[in-house]
Amino acid sequence: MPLAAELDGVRKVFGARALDPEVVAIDGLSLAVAEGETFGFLGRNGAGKTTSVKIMLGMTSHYEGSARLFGVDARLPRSRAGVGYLSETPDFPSHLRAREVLLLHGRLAGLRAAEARRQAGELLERLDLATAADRTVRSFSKGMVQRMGIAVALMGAPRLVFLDEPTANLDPVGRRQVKDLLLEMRERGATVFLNSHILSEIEMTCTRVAILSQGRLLREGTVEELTQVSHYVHIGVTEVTDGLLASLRERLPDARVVDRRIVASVRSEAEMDPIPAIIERHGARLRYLAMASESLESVFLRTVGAAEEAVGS
Amino acid sequence: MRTMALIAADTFTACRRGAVLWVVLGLAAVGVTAVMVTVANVPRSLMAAAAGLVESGEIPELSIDPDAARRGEKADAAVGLDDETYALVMQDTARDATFRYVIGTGGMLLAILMGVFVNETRSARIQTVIARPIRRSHVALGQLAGGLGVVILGLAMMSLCHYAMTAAVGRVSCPRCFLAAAAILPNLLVAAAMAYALATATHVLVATGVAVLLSTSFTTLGSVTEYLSRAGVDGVIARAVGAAHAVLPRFLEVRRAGEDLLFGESLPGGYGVAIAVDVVYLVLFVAISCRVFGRREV
Repeated sequence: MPLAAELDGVRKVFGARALDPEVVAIDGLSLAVAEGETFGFLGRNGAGKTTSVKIMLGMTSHYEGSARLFGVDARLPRSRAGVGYLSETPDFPSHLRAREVLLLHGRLAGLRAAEARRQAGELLERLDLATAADRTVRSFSKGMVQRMGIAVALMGAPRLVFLDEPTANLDPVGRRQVKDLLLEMRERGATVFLNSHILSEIEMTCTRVAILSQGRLLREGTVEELTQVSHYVHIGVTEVTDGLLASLRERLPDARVVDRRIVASVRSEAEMDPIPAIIERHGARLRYLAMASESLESVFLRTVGAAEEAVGS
Repeated sequence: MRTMALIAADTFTACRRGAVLWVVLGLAAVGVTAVMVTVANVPRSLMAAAAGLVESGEIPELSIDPDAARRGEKADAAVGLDDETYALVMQDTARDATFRYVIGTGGMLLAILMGVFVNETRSARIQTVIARPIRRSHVALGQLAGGLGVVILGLAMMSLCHYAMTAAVGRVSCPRCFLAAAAILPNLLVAAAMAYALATATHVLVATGVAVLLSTSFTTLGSVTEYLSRAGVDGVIARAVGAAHAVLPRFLEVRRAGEDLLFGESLPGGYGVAIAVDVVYLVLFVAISCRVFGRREV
């Protein structure tokens, strides 16, 4: 499948300043996002997510490695044809009215005036900004500015959209609208590159996810691949004794007591088969036995935590 | 070209809606009235004292400063006139002063402020714009073109105000003030482009301060060069000043050409060279802006 965005061995170092030392923002990052994918990019603050996006959008040109959009060097303006961008902190000329901002961006995206007007009207309606279309942006609330940012990113019906924290400052209704928009874009075959801290959102909308820490790619794969590497078994028993726990640990080494139940990781359902017999042998009674997949949040915290521990040690 | 036009129109709209032009018009009206009323009512005794000071040679700089000498001659001539003619001469002098200080200096300040404030290359809001398939140089050129448009319109409004106020206050209105303002426009465009380039490379406040300092220096350099020439000073410093004057923008010559036009005289011989130098610097500052913004990490 052709690639919409790719980074190949990118290394970006922010030079030392008066009081700050040199910082390696991205360290040998390689990524490939296929056309039509909804790609989630995860990482803590300062992990290098926004810098990666800025490199792909040609906002940063001093780096090692290569970045391409639709196969074109990201340093060239033509690589951004058909690309939309929502910045982490959307900001628009305060003197312009909402409709004018969209028209300007539509024209900058190469649309004819009539088509830009049509798309602006549609997006204003879609993002609940129709009644504020002729108000200047300076009178907008934070949530309205965020919705304007999304509308601006979608002007020109882009083939690839970079969304940096799209649901920041939005109420639950706004979040739902964004989720619906993402799913719609996926349906019409557009590529979405999503930076977000809200992992449940990424879990629900993204087809593939990458986890970044300190400028390095830690894991990458579909949400299923990442969350089904390990499962957890929750065991409810009438009485937890040291002997029972020790016996369980012979089979499930990380078995531990959490809130009066035993929790352990398992690789497959087969590993759960001997558990009832072990419990019975110790004179306890099994109340429930349930297996659960690891959530993306848990995968993220575990992956990033392990990487940071490794660096710390 | 299309991108530049869109950005220029957007920048112009920002200035228009930001009431910049109304502020300019208001300040110009106050400035013209204040200078006109003050200078037109200078008492004969003060003029006599001024003429005497130039003639006495007590302050040697006055006798070799061409502007001071010219004002001294005018003062000397004015002292012996009858009351009605004296009043007309003083109104004429006031018109000269309003052009120099309100349109010349005020226009220069407007140009510098516009150059700095239309510059959004260091603002976060530029990110969404440059994420479009457009060249950064086109964004810079568009912003600058919008700012220069405001400078031109502002200068026209100041000239209109000058024309109207001199007519109302002193009854010596002169449509040549529009021509004179057009003559000094190249200086303002260079100042605006210089301020824009500085704002692209440094902080807004630093850019404003340095642009004011440099613009004043370019004018002062012309005066110092004339002063040294008339005083017959030679040496390393005089040659260095002469060399700097030869290669830097010649704001004084351009401003003088405007004043000459205001009084119905023809353009001085050096005006063409001064304009050519201004054009070179205009192109240079635009190129610097595009280069710096093009390499900037946004």
